[in-house]
Amino acid sequence: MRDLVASVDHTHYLIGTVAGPHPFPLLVREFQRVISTEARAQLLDRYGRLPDAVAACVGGGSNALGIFADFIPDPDVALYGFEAGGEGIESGRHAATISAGEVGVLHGMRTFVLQDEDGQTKASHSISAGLDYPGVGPEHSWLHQIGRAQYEAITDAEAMDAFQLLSRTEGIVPALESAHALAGALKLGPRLGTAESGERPLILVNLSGRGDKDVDIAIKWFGLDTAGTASESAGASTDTGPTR
Amino acid sequence: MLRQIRAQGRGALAGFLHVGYPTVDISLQALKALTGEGESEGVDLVEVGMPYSDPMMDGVTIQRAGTKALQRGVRTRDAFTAVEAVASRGIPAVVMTYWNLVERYGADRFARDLVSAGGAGMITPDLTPNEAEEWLAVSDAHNLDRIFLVSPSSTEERLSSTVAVCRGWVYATSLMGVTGSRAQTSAAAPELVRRIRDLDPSAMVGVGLGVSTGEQAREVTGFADLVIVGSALVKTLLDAEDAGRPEDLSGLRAVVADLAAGVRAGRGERNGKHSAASQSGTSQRSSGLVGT
Repeated sequence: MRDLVASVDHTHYLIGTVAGPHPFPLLVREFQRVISTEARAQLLDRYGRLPDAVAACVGGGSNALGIFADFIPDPDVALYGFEAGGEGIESGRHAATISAGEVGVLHGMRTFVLQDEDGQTKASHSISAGLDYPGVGPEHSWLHQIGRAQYEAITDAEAMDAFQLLSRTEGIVPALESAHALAGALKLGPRLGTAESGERPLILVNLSGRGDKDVDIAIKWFGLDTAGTASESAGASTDTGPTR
Repeated sequence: MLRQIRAQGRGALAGFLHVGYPTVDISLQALKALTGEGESEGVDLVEVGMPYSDPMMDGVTIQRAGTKALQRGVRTRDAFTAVEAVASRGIPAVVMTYWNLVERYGADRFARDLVSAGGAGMITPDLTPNEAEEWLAVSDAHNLDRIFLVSPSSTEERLSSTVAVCRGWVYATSLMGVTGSRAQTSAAAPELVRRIRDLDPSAMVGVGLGVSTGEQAREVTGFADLVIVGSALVKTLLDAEDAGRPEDLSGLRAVVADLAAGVRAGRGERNGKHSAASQSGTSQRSSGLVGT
């Protein structure tokens, strides 16, 4: 933003999330809306009904708002945003802005902010860079305040478990950010429960990114980076499961 | 106050320093040093800056000092101690702060404490008039000056609405960019000041961003009522700490003396190029009021 101020005569500001001063949150939401427009149409086509819930990870909030947008007017579609719980809220090392923040003014917007007693912004932490932000798009703050969407924190560990599960079961390596949405959906399913008809809940999860970029972090997390073979690591098994 | 100084035939000088850098105690001494000592003239107005985690309008100098001040534990309430220190020297003080710190403290409570400390008002760089309802009400209730920023890119509409809500003076940023000393002040500043005066001929205008020498200060007062200096002053404190003597204010005092002499050398001509002899008696004192 500092650079923008100095170069506004010849430079456009292209922010990648629904945050910052007006009109950028609005602009980016509209550019991302296509996700929900297409998903909604495809769900109706394939399942003949709308989902019970939509799940997305929330950092600045663009992929989440993108997939929420066309469903916001559908009262029977629950919206869930999953924030980075890092090492757990109690640890203080997280980026769960709506869960643990308070309303303030940051980066040209009034929104939830992780801040200290004086209003200084606190450092945020997450295993995933894309969720590591002490603010959140103001529209998410609004959806939270009016109760239209629920926001929950997912820890690094929960996200990594989901990362591994999707990789193994579907052969899709999700971005660490998206792994938070997957982890959230995994916890959400049982809570939504089965209908009397026996039909299981239909949850739409936004797989917002690929995990190719995160393989190095995953290797470290799962202890796959020890020099030598699996037989050298504790529990010498060829099945190198997670060490945590 | 600004009008009185203008009537004396010179522009006024405002100096900005953070509270809390290099430490709260030394910053109080530094802020007092801005007001001049003994036979040395100082500034006419002090801006007490609140360090903030996300200083969006600040370049590296102010960022560095602010970050260290935060690391060393400066708190919002220290701003009032600082204001008191300046007020005790008989010089007006305003607080310059990003809005979230005021919001968190409670705007009314902040205003009350500011008035108790002897403060005259507040500069709110990241508050726009249309988001400032609470501050407008609170500053009215406590009779505090409220100084908003306008910039060369401000539209006529925004310029108009901002000038209309300012009380005390209007802060005109002299260029599109962040704080920081520059070798030359910008050409955009006189144009912005002219636009402000076209809207409101009685507006008092302060110009900041980029001024570091007495000569530049004098030049700015040729078209503005107030010249604001920040980074150049903060830099003296950073330099002192880098040299291992954070308590050494001699560098600061030297810059203040140069700036104060600069604005007292009389109203600079708008188009002239001037020598650096700001202390000579050949300065032109215009009795007229620029821009009206």
